[in-house]
Amino acid sequence: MKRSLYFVLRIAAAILLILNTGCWSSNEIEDVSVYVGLGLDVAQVSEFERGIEKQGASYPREKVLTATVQIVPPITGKGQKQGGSSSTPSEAYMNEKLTGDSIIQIFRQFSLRRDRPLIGHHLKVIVVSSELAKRYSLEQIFDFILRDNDIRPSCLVLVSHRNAFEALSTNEPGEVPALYLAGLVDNRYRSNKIIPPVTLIKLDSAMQSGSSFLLQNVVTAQNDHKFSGAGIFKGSTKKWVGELSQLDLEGLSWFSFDVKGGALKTYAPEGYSITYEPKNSKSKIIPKVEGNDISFHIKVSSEGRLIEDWSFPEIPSSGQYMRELEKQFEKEARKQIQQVLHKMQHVYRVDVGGFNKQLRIKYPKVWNKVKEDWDETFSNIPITYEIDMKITDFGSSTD
Amino acid sequence: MSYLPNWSLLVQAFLLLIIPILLVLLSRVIRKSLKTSMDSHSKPEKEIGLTDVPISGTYDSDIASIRKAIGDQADVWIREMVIRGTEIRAALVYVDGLTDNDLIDTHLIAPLILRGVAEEHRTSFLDSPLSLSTYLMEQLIPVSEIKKVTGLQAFTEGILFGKTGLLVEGLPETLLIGSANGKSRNVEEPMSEALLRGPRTGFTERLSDNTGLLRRHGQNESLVLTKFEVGSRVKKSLVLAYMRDIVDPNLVDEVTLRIQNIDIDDPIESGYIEQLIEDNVLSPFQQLQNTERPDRVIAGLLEGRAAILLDGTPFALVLPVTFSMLLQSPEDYYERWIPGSFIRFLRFFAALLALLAPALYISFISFHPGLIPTKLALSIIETRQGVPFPSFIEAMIMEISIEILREAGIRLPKPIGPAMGIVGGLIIGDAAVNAGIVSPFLVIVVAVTAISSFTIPVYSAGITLRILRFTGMLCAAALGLFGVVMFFLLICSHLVRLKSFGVPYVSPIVPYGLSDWKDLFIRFPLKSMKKRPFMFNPKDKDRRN
Repeated sequence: MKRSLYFVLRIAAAILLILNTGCWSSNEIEDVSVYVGLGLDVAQVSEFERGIEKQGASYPREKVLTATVQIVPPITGKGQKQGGSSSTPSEAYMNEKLTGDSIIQIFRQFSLRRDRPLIGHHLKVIVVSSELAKRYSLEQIFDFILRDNDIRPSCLVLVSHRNAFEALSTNEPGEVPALYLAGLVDNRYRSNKIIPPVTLIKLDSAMQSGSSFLLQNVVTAQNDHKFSGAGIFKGSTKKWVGELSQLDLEGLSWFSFDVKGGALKTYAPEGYSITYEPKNSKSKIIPKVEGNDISFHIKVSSEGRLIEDWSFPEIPSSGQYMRELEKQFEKEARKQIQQVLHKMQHVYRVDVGGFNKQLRIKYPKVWNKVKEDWDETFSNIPITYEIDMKITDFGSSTD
Repeated sequence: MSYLPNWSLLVQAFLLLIIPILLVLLSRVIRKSLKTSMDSHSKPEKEIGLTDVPISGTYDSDIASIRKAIGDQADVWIREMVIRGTEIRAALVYVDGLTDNDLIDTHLIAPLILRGVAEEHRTSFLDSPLSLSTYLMEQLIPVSEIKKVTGLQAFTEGILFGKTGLLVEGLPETLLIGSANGKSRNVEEPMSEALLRGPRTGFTERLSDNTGLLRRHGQNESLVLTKFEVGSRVKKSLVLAYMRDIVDPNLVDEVTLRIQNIDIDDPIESGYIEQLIEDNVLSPFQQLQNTERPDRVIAGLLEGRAAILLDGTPFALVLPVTFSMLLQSPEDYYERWIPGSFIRFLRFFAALLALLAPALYISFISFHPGLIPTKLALSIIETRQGVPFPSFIEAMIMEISIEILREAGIRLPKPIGPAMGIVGGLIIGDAAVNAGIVSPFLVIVVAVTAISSFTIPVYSAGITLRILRFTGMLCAAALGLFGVVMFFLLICSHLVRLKSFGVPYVSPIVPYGLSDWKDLFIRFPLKSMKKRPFMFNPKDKDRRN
């Protein structure tokens, strides 16, 4: 009798041990808010905030920035879902705005408003407005985001020409702007106006290295977006200094990052538009040091096809004609490169083309001497370039 | 004193130290209590009325004592007669239903009453009664199986077992004629182990049929069938089969020892034998494989295993067992090696799913939403809107109802079984989702899990995984993925320790035997499997012999 009692007690103790832990840190997925987009703007106090502040619901803060979190899916009651499965909610997301001077504090303020706490694992896109980035260094703005354990380093960083909140809004029903923006960068194989994606970890390394860098620019109009150009951030301040246009990016792409696709349009001598589709491009930046003089030489070779030719009457695609066209395209590319180099060296005086990297690799000693004030030094360095384009085919046209 | 950690840390460290010790002590206590409960029992008392008296030879007193011993059994018939040509009285004693009435009529009653003793012999044995029995056996009764018995007890036991007893006046001994002729069924395809390709034979309930099936598999002198008798009250024949020149003799010794140590009143089914001779009673994993297929037994014997066949059940036991065996099907070998390997791989994967899928679901949903791909996470959130239970309760509801459905499916009479299965599946799958009790995603998980667990060729191994699945869910609910990992490690450490008749359970993975891997995840072409598995330590290592 006594023995079996002990036996039962022992088993009970073992079971209790497990049950005691309970569901340790369990948090059901439907009880948290997944945010996929984060927009950072200069302070714009929302109607709601103004309303509650009138009732004294405020806390000490400076109005520095407005954070917009994009929560998906919008919280709907079960009843609503059951009532009409055909009537989809007009928006597939929910944007929440709060203002403050510390991002983490703003995030925690959300807990006062929503029953579901925010989790950042699924954050895909951070959009910083150029206005905010002009005033504050990215190092300051991103400090919390880089420290946070939830947010993945693979999160994409974009800069918006206007309001970041707008960049995270859309009129398209069922579209989640953050996912849409994250998907756009995958189109690099179709356009050379998209720079390689800058993720949080790349942003961090760029900021640590002290060199200037680019962030893809989002332009919005009527709640619709477009990637256009890129924002330039100066290495010394990490602040937004200006923008490169689409055309500049095209020029930059020839030597700074591999061209995987796109369209190079120019005009034939007769005035008709002709378009070249680069398929395979190689580029090389060759630094040269003679004494104290540094210079760069850019070598670009590209293969592609003639994809569109408006010439009328049609000119047969003979080898000679191709040579002619190649010359035209080369001329156009030279123009683009010249333009972007001009902008980099003389307008913004920053090196965002990767010249510093080549110099550092080939001439580390020289680099050590000039790295302190590289952006200024770079502005006065002569750069030469040569372009070799080759039309390998002209599509399935058979004339 | 600041270097001392504070007390809560000390308590944690203490608990961490004490809990494994407690667990080990606990399992030791359980083991011990199991052992003592096995050992201590009283010997069965011999039945009183059946005291062993010799057959006297006096007909009246003998028949009276037989009547006294078994005459009150409803199915015992006594047919008295006089042997033709003499005045000698005789009696046939038999059990109705166990004996063949035709045999009694044509081969016993007819010769005794109609033919009787031939005239020239009539006088020869009048004075020597013993020569009468020789005459009966040699010249009168045309039956192959016939035995002389002198004791009353042996006589009655033989009759109750299905033999026909012949008591003859003046003889101090009796004859037991014929063998038990209980009903048996035909050799059919086994229900629990159906194959698309392979022999359609299965064992039956009759031991002699089953050993016959093994013998008939092919001409083979090395097949040894050793007979044992088990059961203290009800005696049953048990046959240990092995290949004389393949099996490890130590294995045969060990199995023989364990069979001889079986102490139970009646081993009803081979499951009794399995549970009485297995190594680890507390393990959820089976340490003997049961099968209804003669081809599986033969394949096992050829690999250096042994098999146990028990009278009265179509389930043979193959031993020793390794984990990989439970996921192998004879079809792996009958198909060509590429499809065979693919299907085997699939089975390993399905076993993993059957074990871990709901646990992973719980831990992803409740603990690590960040690990789900974003778009999937979004659709899960949408489908889980309004589900009132945490994922653990939700998964428990579904898993338990699936198990109930499965169990009910076995019990249901055949005509309504499939119908009820469909109805049950519909109710559980669709109505539960519509009612908002569970999320549609979980239904998929549970369905996949259930289907996966049925891919395991050994049904009882599937049950093991199903039980463990619930433990896994519990661990996942308590600690998330960390709990699942701990649970998996616990299973692994248990499996590594477990042995089946001296063979490590997870061999050839641990201990490592590369050449045995040819028949583990990938079933290599038969031509490259030249050696018998080393893990069973076969005497003849070369498969080609």
